[in-house]
Formats: sequence, structure tokens, C-alpha cells
Amino acid sequence: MNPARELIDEYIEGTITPERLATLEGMLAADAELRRYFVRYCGLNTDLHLHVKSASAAERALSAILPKKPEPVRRWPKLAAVAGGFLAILLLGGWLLRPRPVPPSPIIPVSEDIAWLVNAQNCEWDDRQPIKEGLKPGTTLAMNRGLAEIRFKSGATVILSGPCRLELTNGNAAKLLQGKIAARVPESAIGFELLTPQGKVIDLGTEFGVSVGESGAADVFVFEGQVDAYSPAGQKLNLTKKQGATLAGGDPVRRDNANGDYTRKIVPNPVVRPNRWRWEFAEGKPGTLLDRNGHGIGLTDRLPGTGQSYPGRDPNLCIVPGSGLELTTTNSDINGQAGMPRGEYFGIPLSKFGFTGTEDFEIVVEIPNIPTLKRVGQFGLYAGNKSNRNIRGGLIAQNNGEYRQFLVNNSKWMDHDSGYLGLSSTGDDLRMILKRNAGKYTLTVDNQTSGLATTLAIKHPDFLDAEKDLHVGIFGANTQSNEPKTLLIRSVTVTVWTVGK
Amino acid sequence: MTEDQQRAEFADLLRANQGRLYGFIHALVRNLDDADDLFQQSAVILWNKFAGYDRNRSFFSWACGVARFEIANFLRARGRKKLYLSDDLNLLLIEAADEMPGDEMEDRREALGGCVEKLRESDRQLVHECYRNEEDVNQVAERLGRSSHSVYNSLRRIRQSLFECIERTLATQARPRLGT
Repeated sequence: MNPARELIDEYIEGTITPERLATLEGMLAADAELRRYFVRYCGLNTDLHLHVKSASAAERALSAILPKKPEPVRRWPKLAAVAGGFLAILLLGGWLLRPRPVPPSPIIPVSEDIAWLVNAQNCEWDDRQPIKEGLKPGTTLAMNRGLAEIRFKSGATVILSGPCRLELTNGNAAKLLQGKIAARVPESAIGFELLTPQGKVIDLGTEFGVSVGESGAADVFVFEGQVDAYSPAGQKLNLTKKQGATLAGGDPVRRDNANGDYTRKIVPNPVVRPNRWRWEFAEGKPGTLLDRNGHGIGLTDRLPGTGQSYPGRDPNLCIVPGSGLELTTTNSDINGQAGMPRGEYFGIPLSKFGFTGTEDFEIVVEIPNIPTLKRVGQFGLYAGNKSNRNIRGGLIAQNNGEYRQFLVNNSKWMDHDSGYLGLSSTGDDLRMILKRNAGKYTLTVDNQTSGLATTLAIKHPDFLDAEKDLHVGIFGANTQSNEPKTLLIRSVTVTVWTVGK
Repeated sequence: MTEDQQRAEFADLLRANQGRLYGFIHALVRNLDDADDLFQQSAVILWNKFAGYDRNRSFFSWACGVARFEIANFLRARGRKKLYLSDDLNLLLIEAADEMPGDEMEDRREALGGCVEKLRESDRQLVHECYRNEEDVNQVAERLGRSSHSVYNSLRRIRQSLFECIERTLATQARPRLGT
């Protein structure tokens, strides 16, 4: 698909995004030819609106006037009179009705369409052969990638999987030059012929797949029904359900365990929907972890392997109505698994939001006015399923109330692959975001005091990839001192991007 | 010139340009009712300003210049729910439309009728479904049990084929053809 045309279509549909509109504007501003096309294509869209409007107005008018069903509407400009002022633009006179010469019928004989493109997904066509809706005999469809569905005049349908080249022979035959197709042949199209460079397949009412490799040899596989496979010399081999063969110039060779891996249906692209939960600690939530006053904090689970010292109320957590959740750090360190039973690592399993292992997700916290932790004291976010299987990041204290942003993997019992970035200071307001996007983790610290946002990525923690569920949550630790500090967590937001139908 | 003569001249010019002017307005606002309103408003203003119209200038480009301001005001009042093209670009588009031979738009509109008739029945129905009440394509898709993605794709394909059919029709009438 031509990118400019795609943008124009989105513009007309109203589905264009601000970014794509800016791209379109840039292209139009730079290209006079494209502007000429744009004006005419938009004109077509306008005319189509008017055409349909006048045609249905005419239908309504005629059905009121005539007792029987009216003839199909033909020349719409004439019928605009019947439509009776359907447009206020007739205000200044009936210029739409101005007599116009009847266009002469085309003199050039046009060969008939034998097949139609009826569906396409993520297609990239070879530019030398732009794809049209109605396809003539001799057309070669050349597709670099994607899926396309062609319906032949006979009723046979073929799904092309890119890269693929298919030459259309007639209303019930085609030649596969390269690539993979799956054909479905209804009764009306029995006898559908699919030629390959080294033999052909004649269908006897069925669904089958053919794949032609670089050598020109073809593999055939029957899903349902039966086909006859022929060598160039005319040697025939009958194939039925789940049987396969190779056509490589000589007699057709039957294949056991033939590969039946073909795309037989174009399934619409999945819809990705953010499933988002935001919690501002405005009230206690029953059934969740308890703060020192017995109020549920909204988050339900500790990172497994941590916090065993707090089976009930947690003296280090306190909901402050109207403000957020106060977390007082404790002396613990995931690096080395020191003091884990008293460690503060609490959050929620992602499965509560539809996570099944493959979805992307993020957790965001707002922490205003950060306190001064002693050197190596740290707070932030984690994702993982155990105290010794996780990725965590946030801020780690330097000297003199300064912090660096960090992100680190932890497996077995120690930290590895750590990365550091940037500088924040005591008193700053922060948003922190731990995110998995397209399977990759990043930690962003959005410092709202300095206006600076920095994103850090480290070596991918592949030890988490196979997990069907992960916990995300918040932590705070005075790792190498006995000096606890209190953080305020204003809100927490968890999002899982679930994939719909 | 008497006022009657002026009125007649204005009506002729407006008639000769109505297709392009309406098309220009609709291309920018993409809604028929809005385009109708704006066309009306613009026509009234054009008539009021007609005494100052310089007859050496293209009527279409003068009319578009007036319509442009009407559209800008209208969109401002609307609070820009949709996304619109910038005013600078509108000027370039007026130029592109102004370069079209006077009756090409009408020829195109007339050719469209024949091309719609040549569509497959299912395609023609889809066009009617989607263009009739400017209905949300998502609703049409839901009713037809298709994905909106696939309905949008079909509409793009149909528009493209209609466009090519119009080009062919105009070519057989020896009209200047748009190079692609």
C-alpha cells in the first residue's frame, strides 16, 4: 500500500492520529502531484456521500409514489430532481440539473475481471505491480509480506502468505510461482487448477495448500476432500485428507508427514486493551495487606520470600487519609538476601489484571518529597516472583542526600547486570515507572521537580520470561544502616495490556 | 451593471464552481451537514462581497478564500473534536483545486454514477451502508459481523477502484488525465 494513500484514507475516515496527520501534511506540502491527487480523491469521497444520499432519498421518494418496488436507481444526477432539494446547495438554482452531454460508452474493450482481492492484512505488495480490486487474466500478484485473500469468479478462494507470487490464469485457475497459498474450493468451482513450475494440482472439491520453494518444486497438502496432483508429463496422483506430495518435475512423490502448516483463514489483528488499576490509598480496603492501624492498603501480596515477620498488621505501613501510604524502610537487602523476613517488598500479582505470562505491563508510583536515606539506601519498584528472582529499580542513595537511578536483576541470591543513571536530590517529587514493553524492561524516573525524565534499560532478565504470573510492587530499604526513613506513596497504578479477540 | 445583471452573473459563477467549492469545504470538514451549512454561509457572504470581486481573478480561488475563513471560525466554535489540516496547507489545496479544468469535478461526479453501477453487488451495498447516514463504520462492522479493520480495508479498496474507474472513464472522453 502506498503510504501517502493510506494516510489520505485515514484522514477521510477520521481514524488518523495527530502524528500521522502531521506526516500527511508534510507530504502534501512537499508534493504538488500528491495535492492534485488529494483534491480529486477527497472529491470522490464527497461525491460518494452525495451519490448515496441522493440515491436513498430517491428510493424513498419513489417508493412513496410508485405502488411497486422501483427499478434500481441508475443515473443519479437526474434523480436528484426527485430527491427534491436534498441539499441546501440548491438554494441558488437547480444547477445540479443542468443538462450534460451523455458520456459516450467506452470504446476500448476491457478484458473482464476474473478474480477480486477480498481481504488483506499487513500486506506489502511489490511496487511494480500495484494491487487493484478487480483482477484481469495474466495479472501476477507479488507480495513481500502479509496475507491476502483472492476470490476467483468460480467461487474458489485462495489465501496468499507473503512472500508469494501468484499469476492469475482465468476465473478458475492460477499459477503459483513462489510462496505459499491455501485454496478453498466450493462445489461451484470443482476443477480449480493450480499450476506450479513443475506440475499442477486439479481440485475435486476440497481445501488444500501448496508451497513452492526457491527450486520451483511444490509441496501439496490436502486438508479436506481430494485433489489430483499431476507431473508435467501428465502422471497423476490422487491425494485425500491429510495426504501430501511433492511435485518436482518427475512423477508426483507421495509424502508421509507432509507439512500442513498453512494459513487458511485471515484472522483480524488482535485488539490490545490496557487493563488499568489505580489506587490512591484514600480508604482502607478489606482483604488486603494491613497497615499498623489495621486498614487494608489495597495491595494484596508480598513478594514471595519477604516480609514473613508481618503476618498481620505491619508497623512500617500507615495510610494517611488524603495523603497516601507511608512506608518506613527497614534494614534489608535483596542483594545477598539479607533480612528478608523484615523486608518491605509489597505489591500485587499481575494475574489479577489478566496477565497470563506474555502480556506487557507497567507499575507506576508517585512519591513526593523524597527523604534522605543513608548511603546505599534504596526504594523503588520490582517485578518478579521471589525474593531471589526479580528485577528491581528506583533510586539508590549516594552521599549528601543525592540519589542515582538504578535498575538491576536478581537471581539466585545476588544482584547482577546493574545499570545506573542520573541524579535526584532530597525533596524532589518523583514518578517511577517499571515497564515491560514488547517483552523488554525499562525503569523511568520522571523527576517532576527538575522536569527531567530518564529511562534506563539493562540486560534482559530472561529468567523471568517463562513465568505465567509475576508480582509487581514497591520496596524501600535502608540496606546498610539502622536508620529507617519514611516515604510517602501518593498512588500506585498497575496496567496490563491484555490481548482481546 | 444593474443589480439584476450582477445577480445573474453571480449565479452563473457560483453554479460553474459549486461542485469544486462544495468539494473543498467537505474535504476539510468531512461532514455533509456541516459542509451544507458552511456552503450556505459562504454563498451569502460571497454575494455581499461580490461588488468587490476582481473579475481578473479566479472566482473559485476567491470563493475558497472566503470559505476558508468561515471554516476556520466554524471549527474554532466546534472546539476541534476532529483533526483538521493547517490553514497553510488549505491555501495549497485551493491552488491545486483551482488548477482543475472548470467542469472536471462535474465530469468526475457523473462518471462516478456509472462506476458505482459497475461495482459488485456486495461492494455497492457496503458503500450504501457506510455512506448513507455517515454512520460509524464500527457500527456497520458490528451489524455485518465483520471487524471494523476489514470494513475499512474494503472501503479503501472500493474507493481506489472507483477512482481508477473514473480516471478510465475520463480518459475515454479525452479529458486531461491525472498522472499517478
